[in-house]
Amino acid sequence: MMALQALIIFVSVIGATFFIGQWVLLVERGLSNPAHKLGKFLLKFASAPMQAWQYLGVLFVVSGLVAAITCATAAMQQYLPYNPLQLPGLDWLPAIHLGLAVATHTNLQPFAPESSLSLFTQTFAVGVGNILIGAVGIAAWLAVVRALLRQPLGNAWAAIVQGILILLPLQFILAAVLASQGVAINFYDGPVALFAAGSIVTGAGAGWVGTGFTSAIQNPNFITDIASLSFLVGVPMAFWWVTGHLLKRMVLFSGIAAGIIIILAIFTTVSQQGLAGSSATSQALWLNTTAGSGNGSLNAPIEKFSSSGILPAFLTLLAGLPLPPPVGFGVGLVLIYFMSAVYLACLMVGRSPSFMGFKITVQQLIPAAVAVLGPQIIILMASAFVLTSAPGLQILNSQGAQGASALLWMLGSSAQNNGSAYQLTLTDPLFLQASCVLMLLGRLMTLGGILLWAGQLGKQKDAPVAPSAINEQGPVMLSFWLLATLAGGMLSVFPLILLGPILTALK
Amino acid sequence: MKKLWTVLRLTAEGLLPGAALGSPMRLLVWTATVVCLGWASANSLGWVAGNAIQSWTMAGWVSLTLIFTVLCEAIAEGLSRQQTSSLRAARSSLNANKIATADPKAPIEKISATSLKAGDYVIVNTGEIIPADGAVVEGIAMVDESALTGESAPVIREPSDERAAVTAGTRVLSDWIIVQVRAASGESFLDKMIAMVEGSKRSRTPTETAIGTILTLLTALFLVLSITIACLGHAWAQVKDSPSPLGVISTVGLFLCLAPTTIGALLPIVGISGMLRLMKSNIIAKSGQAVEAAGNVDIMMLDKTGTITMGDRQAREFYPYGDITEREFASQAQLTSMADTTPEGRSIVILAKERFGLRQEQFDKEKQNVVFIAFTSVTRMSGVDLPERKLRKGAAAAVEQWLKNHNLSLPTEVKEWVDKISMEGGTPLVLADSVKGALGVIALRDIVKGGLRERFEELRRLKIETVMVTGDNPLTAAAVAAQAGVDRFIAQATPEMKLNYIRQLQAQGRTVAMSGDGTNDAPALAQADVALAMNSGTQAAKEAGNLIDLDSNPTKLIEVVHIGKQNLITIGALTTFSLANDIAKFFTLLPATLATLFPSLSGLDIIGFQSPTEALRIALIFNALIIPLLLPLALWGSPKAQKTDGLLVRHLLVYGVGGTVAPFAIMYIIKLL
Repeated sequence: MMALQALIIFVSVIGATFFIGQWVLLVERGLSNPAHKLGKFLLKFASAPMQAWQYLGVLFVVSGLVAAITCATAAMQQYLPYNPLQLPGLDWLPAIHLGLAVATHTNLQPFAPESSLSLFTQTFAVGVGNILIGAVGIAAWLAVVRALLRQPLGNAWAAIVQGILILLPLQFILAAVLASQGVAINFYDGPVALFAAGSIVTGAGAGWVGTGFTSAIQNPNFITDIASLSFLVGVPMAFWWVTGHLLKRMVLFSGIAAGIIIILAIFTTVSQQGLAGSSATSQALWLNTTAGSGNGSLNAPIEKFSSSGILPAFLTLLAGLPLPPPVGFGVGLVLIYFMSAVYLACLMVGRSPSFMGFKITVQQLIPAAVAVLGPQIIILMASAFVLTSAPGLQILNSQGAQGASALLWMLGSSAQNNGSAYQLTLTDPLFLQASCVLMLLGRLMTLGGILLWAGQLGKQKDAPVAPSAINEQGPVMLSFWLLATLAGGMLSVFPLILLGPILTALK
Repeated sequence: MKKLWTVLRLTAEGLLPGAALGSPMRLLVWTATVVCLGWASANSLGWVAGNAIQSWTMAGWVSLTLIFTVLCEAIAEGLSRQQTSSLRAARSSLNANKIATADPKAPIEKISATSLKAGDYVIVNTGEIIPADGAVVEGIAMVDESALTGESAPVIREPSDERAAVTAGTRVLSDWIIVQVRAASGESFLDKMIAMVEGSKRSRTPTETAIGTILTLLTALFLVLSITIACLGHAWAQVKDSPSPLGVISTVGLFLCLAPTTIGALLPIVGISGMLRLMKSNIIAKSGQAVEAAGNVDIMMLDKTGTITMGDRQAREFYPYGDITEREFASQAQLTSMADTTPEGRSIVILAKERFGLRQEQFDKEKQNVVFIAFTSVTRMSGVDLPERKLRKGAAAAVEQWLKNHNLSLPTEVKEWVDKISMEGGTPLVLADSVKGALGVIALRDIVKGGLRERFEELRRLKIETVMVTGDNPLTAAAVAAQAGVDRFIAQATPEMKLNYIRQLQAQGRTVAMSGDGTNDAPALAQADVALAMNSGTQAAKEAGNLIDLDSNPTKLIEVVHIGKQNLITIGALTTFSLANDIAKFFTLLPATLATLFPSLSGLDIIGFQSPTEALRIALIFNALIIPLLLPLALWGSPKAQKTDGLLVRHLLVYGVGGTVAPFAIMYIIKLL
């Protein structure tokens, strides 16, 4: 039964990856002109090529607008239409937190949305925001791909439009499947199917209801489960596949994808230990996939997993390991890890470091380090700060190691812009404030680091790979990349894992 | 004794706060030590609570890391100073006899060498030391360059293209020369040599800079990490109502154990010793980049003459064509070589003299109305224009073209001789007359240097191709190439061809190294990624190259490649080892130090420490000891790579897996002691 389930999941995920990949490719190539024209129409200067920092500036401006609008909408929802439950506006702190959560693609919420947010806020602030921010992630991906192809980065506005064009049809297809299985999409309950589909396709991970995808309102049966899972893994992997295709490096990209699949399979096997029920595999895969891809949605409460079963996801989440990569820009993150491993490998065979024909110098290493080490450093700082604070100590006192795990998970989830959480961890304003700061800094560093890294790569002159260069796609290099990624994550966050989940596991 | 004193003095200097500002890493280690010592003192004085003896022990072990870091650097610095002491002595007391014009009778102004400017003229007499780098413009002298090259045989310096360059610090042994200064004080060869190896002025390789930056970032991460562990430990202790597992000193100790102190301490040494190795091979690197690029070389371009072969291609045979006698042919050949100063040209004159007793003087009468045509790399011919006819001698292709211009052709028989001589590895020179056509062929022969075949084989295992560059025709080139065992050759090479060939290879992503000495090599040298110019070469070549070989031995390019690779491998090995160590330290230290709070964690403590203090102490001892233990690796570099296949796996196993296992083993041994 378990094996059959795993097989069905495997086949549908691979199939989805392929079809979504074809679609992304189609938009990236064929529709780029209409997208450009639309962009041009929207803004006069939308076709002007941009420098990395200008490009980044646009992405941040759009994110900032989304944050401001979401925050304002939620705070003033009582004055806005489509509020059948007559819900009051959110307080400023939760409203700001919500704005940042949407704008940073985190979607960590301290409340049950169905009883706190009006249908208007859910649909037009959170739902639309998720798609826009998803498009921002794809715009970052386009910049990375262009830099790797040694083309100008292009125009960020046009790229965002392109991102929306990629996402919307995928969202509608998944929404149709969900709706056919009974997920609500009507005026009285709201566009739940559309919202859930958008949340999965963009990797936002937001839930229409507090219990998220464990709720039958969003994910009622096996078919919706498989469809969602296919998109959950398929969309991130499709971007990876398309990148490999565009760069004409399918061997290397397939090798890395195989590594990611192997790791996911191992992690899923570990996580499903002790889980009961027919959907154990899908729940375990869901947990580990969303921990890696920064999606953050959950198909089973974290508390349901065994204390050792949660360990792989803990490592992935806290260290921000892109296994699988977040939708779009996550491709850059995987490549940064790969570049770091190649860097060491090159040195060890006595060649000055280069990867995929790009020289690796301090100019690329610094933004790369910011993107990877930055969020880890702020998680460590925040852990020290929050756990020694009065509300932190109170949680340690009342809930012990489990409470520590919940807090650490929340901090990691904020800084890595993931969004999943143990139930009700944002109980204190201090936690909420910390989460706000972490979400913002985490996003700034990851997105900024990746874009500036790509900008630096794009500046390099075209240099084909020397025949004597290190064999990047060989099994030795790929194994080293995988081990280095895991070891790198371990090096920075092991103490946190030790003092939370490992403590729980040992008890 | 003096050396020991220097090292001790340098160590003491390195411990001063000023020296700590050199790198962020060093600053943190230094601060950590000061904090520990301060805290231990406060314990003794009773200002803060704590076990004073324990604090002092810990502070002692913490200091050891700093001391070993500084000591290692002092040793490397001491070695480089020893190497440069003679150079410094040569530089310090230089005086110059400045003259206004390049006239030996011009009035002399005695000034210090440091105030010389480029373009100034100085006169250097017997026994004096040349005060600045420059070119001889007047006079001729024997110069002792042993201070620079270690070579005791004096060399002649005169105002000719090849022999004009003189270097500051060398001594005139006889006669006098007037030198026009090329490099002002501070930019001379001597200055560059000293700067190459000495401390702060040293030119760092891009990888050294990059690794340095990464280490700083990692140090920041581990600093935050240590503080976080201490804070979390403190929080849990508060909840459990027990003392904090990590006090100030323990936190500092933990940070020192986790921070990449090993590679941080050894990185500058790897850099210095890499430059020292180059210097010991008598090579000057103009930039760190050149040394690093050497590690990547895919293609090595070597001149045939003088590099692959002994260089003295000598005339061995005359093959007269048609009804001309061998004596007549020899006489004509000698005539065309009269103005040819190349060794080949001279050897023709000598052969004619040896065989037929033909002497130069016989032609003196004719000299009045003849014009000698010198050899150029473009025409690839030399010869003589007589009143009624012209004579040319050169490569078959060039002469054939010349004959064609005179409506004559090269006879098939001559072409066959040319091919035959070429196939045997000889160099055929065709002699032709503008009236009679081809007169015959002169066969020059050269010998391939011993041991080169094996060296090229060695390079092939490192995936480096060798390309032989020669002005000879393709057949001659192929024969010599086969004999020497090079992978490819470029025949009939002109300076443009060499330049284009390098560009073409670089466009394919390859790193090209070449050596050269002539002005015509300069464009190609400037284009090549690694360009080794001969010190005996022309100023243009020396300026175009990024490495200069003082011994003027072009095959040293192979050494340079090895040194470049070794540098990178050593840095990579030490970084991997250092980071792998951290993984091991994590798994030993954290469970052990936190076990007082959480007894369940002691199950993860593989070594079985008795107390958190013991764990930290042993980790600190390991941390300090590993620096001098790895010093030989940093100083002498990783073993020379023999081949690239399997190198990555081997190094990953040795330094990655080894680096993870070694700390467990060594810490266990320390614990037993």
